[in-house]
Amino acid sequence: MFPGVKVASCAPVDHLVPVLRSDSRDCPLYSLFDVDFEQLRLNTLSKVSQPKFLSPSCVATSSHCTKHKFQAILTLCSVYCEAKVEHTTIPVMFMYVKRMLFTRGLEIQRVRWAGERTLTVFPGTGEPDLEAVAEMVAFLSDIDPFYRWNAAPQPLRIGGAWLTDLQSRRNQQFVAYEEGNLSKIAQLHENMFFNELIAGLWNYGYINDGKVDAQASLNFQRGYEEVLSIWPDFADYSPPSSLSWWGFGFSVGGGERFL
Amino acid sequence: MVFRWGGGRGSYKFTDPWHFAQSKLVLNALNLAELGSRSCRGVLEIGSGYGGLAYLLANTPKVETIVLVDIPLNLLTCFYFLKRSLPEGSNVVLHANQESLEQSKAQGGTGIHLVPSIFYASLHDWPGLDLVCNFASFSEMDSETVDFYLRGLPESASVLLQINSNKPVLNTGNHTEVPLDNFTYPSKFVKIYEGPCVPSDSGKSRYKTTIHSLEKTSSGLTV
Repeated sequence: MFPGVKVASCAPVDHLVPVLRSDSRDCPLYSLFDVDFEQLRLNTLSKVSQPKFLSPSCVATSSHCTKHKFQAILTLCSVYCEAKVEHTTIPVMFMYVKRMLFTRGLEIQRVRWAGERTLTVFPGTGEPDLEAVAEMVAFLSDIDPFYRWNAAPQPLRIGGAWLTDLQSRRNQQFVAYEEGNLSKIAQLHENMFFNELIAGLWNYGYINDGKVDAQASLNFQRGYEEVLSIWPDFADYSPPSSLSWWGFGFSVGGGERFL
Repeated sequence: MVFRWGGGRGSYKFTDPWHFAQSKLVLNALNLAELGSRSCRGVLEIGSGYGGLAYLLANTPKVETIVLVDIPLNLLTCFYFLKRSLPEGSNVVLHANQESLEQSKAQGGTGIHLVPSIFYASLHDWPGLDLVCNFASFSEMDSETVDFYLRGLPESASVLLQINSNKPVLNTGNHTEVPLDNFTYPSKFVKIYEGPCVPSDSGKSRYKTTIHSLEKTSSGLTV
């Protein structure tokens, strides 16, 4: 579904849910959701250790159903704020939502996460794909990584500050290809989520010297909750486990916490 | 269920909401395109990223052709990821020259094709690339580069889906973001949808989602 739009007579589009209309600036948000606020308040009070404090982390400890609905409210509030209201009015909208929830016994507080955390790196599963690496090396005999000797249309040329930036940001990758050691190239790609290969391609945060900005976990969690509130089948999805990952995730049945 | 933050593998399920949301948008946009009557099963993604979207789409029966265009370093990262992540025997082709592209076109073009951006013009007559998408990279390009891509959309494209910045906030000193409302879209396309970026995680509040469609396709919709 596409948040913020009303699509009529459009059967093939799945997961249609009530959404905010662009012309309804004063639409009472709570009327759009199938939420029993009193039940929500009672559920929340019984689940969280600090009843008046709802941060993403303690929302995650409440029941899935409650968390889901609560996050849907926050998500659609943010959708409303970001899409339909000028930036200058966002604080007003936020106060409105905060007050609305406060009258029902809930309080929103901003959580500031600072600092860096060290990540444990785990190996992927299976063997590195040396055939794929050989194919990549063969590719580079025809295509220069920066198109320096390939005929490229002017708008697609990699030059100037972009070239300098790319050479610096992807130096290990470039050097590994230049050396042509298949095992070394494979190892670099096996750990792609933990090194420079993912730079510019990952939406949540990057790892430097084994450490990641703690804000990244919040970015992951926000994304998780928001997408789950729109597409419930996101709960069933996990990326492939062939390569080692990091980020926000979950295990069924418990397990050690890394951070 | 225990939520976790860290690195690992195996029984722990890590998440990637950004690409999951993109895959849903793509599939729904394909469904919208099909309201124009014909079957739509081909996707061209300009900016492959690490292959997160392609991996998801490859696991849906609806999508038969995925063409990924990017600069070589990204394309190689994407290629290795897909080769390691998709089942053995999956049709993932890394194109190093025009001849290889022509051969794939002649064979109908199904599978996943990774194409260096310098060969973009050769995709003009690739059959069945119904949907073209770009997520968070057009606005990081120069205007002339975006124009180049939009002018050269494949003939078969009927839907353009994107999430990009609409405010010139990011300024790296040598480049300022190009708002998506300032792009020059082909005249045969009309905007049928505009909404927020999902997920709207940090740094993306200035981003928005738009869908442009051929006029004939969009005529069946009420938006």
